[in-house]
Amino acid sequence: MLGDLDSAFGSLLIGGTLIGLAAGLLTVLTGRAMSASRMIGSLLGGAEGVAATSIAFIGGSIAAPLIMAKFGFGIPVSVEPNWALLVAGGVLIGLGVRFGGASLGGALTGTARRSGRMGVIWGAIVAGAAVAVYLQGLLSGGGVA
Amino acid sequence: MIRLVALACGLLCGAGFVLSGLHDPALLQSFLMRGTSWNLSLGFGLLVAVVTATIVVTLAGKHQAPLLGGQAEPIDGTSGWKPIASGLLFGFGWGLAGYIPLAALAAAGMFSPGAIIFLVSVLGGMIVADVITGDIGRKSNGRFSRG
Repeated sequence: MLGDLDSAFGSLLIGGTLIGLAAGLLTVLTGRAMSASRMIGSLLGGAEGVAATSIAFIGGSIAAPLIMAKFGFGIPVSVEPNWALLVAGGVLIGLGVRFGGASLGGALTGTARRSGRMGVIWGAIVAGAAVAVYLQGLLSGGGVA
Repeated sequence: MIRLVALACGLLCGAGFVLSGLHDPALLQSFLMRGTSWNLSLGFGLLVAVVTATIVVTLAGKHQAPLLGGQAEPIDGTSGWKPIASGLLFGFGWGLAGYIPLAALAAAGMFSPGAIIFLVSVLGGMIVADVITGDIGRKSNGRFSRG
């Protein structure tokens, strides 16, 4: 029932801890939310300093796997959805973030800071994802178990 | 200094995704579809991240202001219905693509072509939103004016 969780337990624990550490340190030290979508959005305009911080974070995120690959670390992507789904999903996320600001990284930082209603935002994000996954299951004819 | 910290946090975050495999789009489907291959990895990894971030913020104490100075970026979602609708849209997009932007950055660093297409599409969606709302050049991020 737990699927691959037990075999991947250690790496998930270490990886999740590093991600949480990054979100916590970023907000405690700089005040920024670890929302990649908002950082990408700040590249389109806004305050200069914000864009510079965003570029630094984005650069670090992309550089990490490059550096780790040199030392033989890294779990490659197993499978990617087709291009139409990637484009549709990306555009919807871009629209959503610009429209109301919600993002998973923002919810992560908000929960850590104990900002209000983060449970509702997590619920909305997971509900949206569940509907999309369910619809894909229906449309692909495979059904949803 | 703030930029150095942002770079270091980006490195930490990217390393976390790459080590855990949480950037893999397949994890979302296997987490949300309760079939024979139900896989809780995504939920567990996110839970660990949330708990760790909460511990870090708690250990830092009651500092409302960032330790390196300035003001904290406001967290969206604390009032009104827009963040909820936005969260639903974000989630729906995540469900289609399998990526969130944070994960896609790490995957892009592994030269996954889909992650790069996804990130460009996120940027495209934002530009479309700005065109629709006539908000070009006056970004909501502008109210947060430091870095």
